[in-house]
Amino acid sequence: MRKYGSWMRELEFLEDEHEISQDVFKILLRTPDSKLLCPRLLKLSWIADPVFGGDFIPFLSPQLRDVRLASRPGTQFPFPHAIAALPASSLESLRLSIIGDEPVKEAIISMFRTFGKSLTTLEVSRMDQLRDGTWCRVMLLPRLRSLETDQSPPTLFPPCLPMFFPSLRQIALHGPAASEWIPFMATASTQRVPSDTGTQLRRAAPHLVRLHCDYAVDLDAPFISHFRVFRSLTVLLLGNGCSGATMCTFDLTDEDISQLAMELPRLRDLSLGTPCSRNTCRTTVNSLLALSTHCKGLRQLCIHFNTRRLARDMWESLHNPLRHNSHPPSRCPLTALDVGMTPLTAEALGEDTFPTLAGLLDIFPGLKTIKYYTFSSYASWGWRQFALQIPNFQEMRRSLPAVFAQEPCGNH
Amino acid sequence: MFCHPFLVDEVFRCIVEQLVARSPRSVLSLAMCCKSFTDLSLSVLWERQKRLSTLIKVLPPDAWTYQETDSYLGELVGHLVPMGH
Repeated sequence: MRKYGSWMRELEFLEDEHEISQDVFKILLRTPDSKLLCPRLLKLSWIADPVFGGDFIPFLSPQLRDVRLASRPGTQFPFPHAIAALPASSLESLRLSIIGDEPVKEAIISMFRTFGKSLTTLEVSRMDQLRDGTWCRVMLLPRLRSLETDQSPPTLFPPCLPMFFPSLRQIALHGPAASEWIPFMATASTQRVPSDTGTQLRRAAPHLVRLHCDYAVDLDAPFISHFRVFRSLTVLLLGNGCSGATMCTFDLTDEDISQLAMELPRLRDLSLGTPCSRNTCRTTVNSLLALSTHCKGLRQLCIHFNTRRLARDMWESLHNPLRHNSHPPSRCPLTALDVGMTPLTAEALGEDTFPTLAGLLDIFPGLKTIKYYTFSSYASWGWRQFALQIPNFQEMRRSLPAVFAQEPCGNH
Repeated sequence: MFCHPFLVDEVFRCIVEQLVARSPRSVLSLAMCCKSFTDLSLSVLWERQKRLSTLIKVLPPDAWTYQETDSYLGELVGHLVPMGH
């Protein structure tokens, strides 16, 4: 058994593995520490079941780099001593999704204190109320590149911490606490801290490239203004509460989106919540134009924009200086536009759909697909027409490049 | 002087690591066809384990037994238990 165990580098113990009795674990636990069952184990994934073997101490090799611990929903994780035995100083990736009583929480907080400089990935979920002191400790991890959590941010962080999340590249936020994190990070970023040469501005996460918040947040101007400190962002994915609410919670204007586009020029993937069917938002095609002009790497977009009078808005956008900022106009290489449940009726498009489609393809010249929900053939009529016509239009553009180069679409 | 690639552990390991992703069964066949291939092939096969019970079952047959405890949807459900418990 030891021979086979010494070959193992990765082990998964899943909750459905009920075929091992508790007695087996009791015997395994008698193994002296000096003779670990899997001495070269690097990765351990343990979905613990309190009844069937949650005690993984015999598998905790000192070389462990990647650990994932989870307990089944609704069950407590009853093994604080096992958490205390984790080799925290050498871990690179730790994913915890457990509910525990006070001893378990104490063990986790104690383990956070012993984190070394090696940790690059941390996921913490379902652990109610981590203490502020614990979070502050986590924020000082110099190599932490990925953080995922559903916990609230610290409310009492020291005002003069030398640096927050200096290496953080991506952050994923879940649950109601998600909307608290963004203002927290923004506040921390605009803090001036004393240094040898006077006070200095420190960014909370100067290298953050991906921010994912899946909780429904109210998208309004004050909230969106927090993102101006994350200038290196390339992926910004936000949830919104439109689907179940009585009114649309997307409260941004064309100016807000234009400001966001200018402040985050590196965006490649932007999602500002799934568009709802109410079509009451104030953003128009001018938002699309601003994003396409300022975010030169944008490839995927999901955004609310009002389509009640799309044909007219498209016509009026001809007066927008961004339509003619250069020749050929500077545009992003966007290929996929997600319009969610936004309706586009025949009335909104008018008799001829071609000019509006040409205008849209002038804004996004590389557009290949429009993703929309077909909840009513009346409401999604326009998107269906566009989806049918886009391949023909793009083919025509390819075969007649001179015509399109001389006279930009919609500019007549 | 010619040295067969299969006689160089590092080279042989590279070959087995490529093979295990496509066909673990072939690696098992390789392990069983020649004693000099056995350890290296098995070590690659054992690197990633999806079930803990696999490790328990390599214990001698008199160390554990399978005890049927229940039936679920007509299928017998049981536990691996140490012999004598």
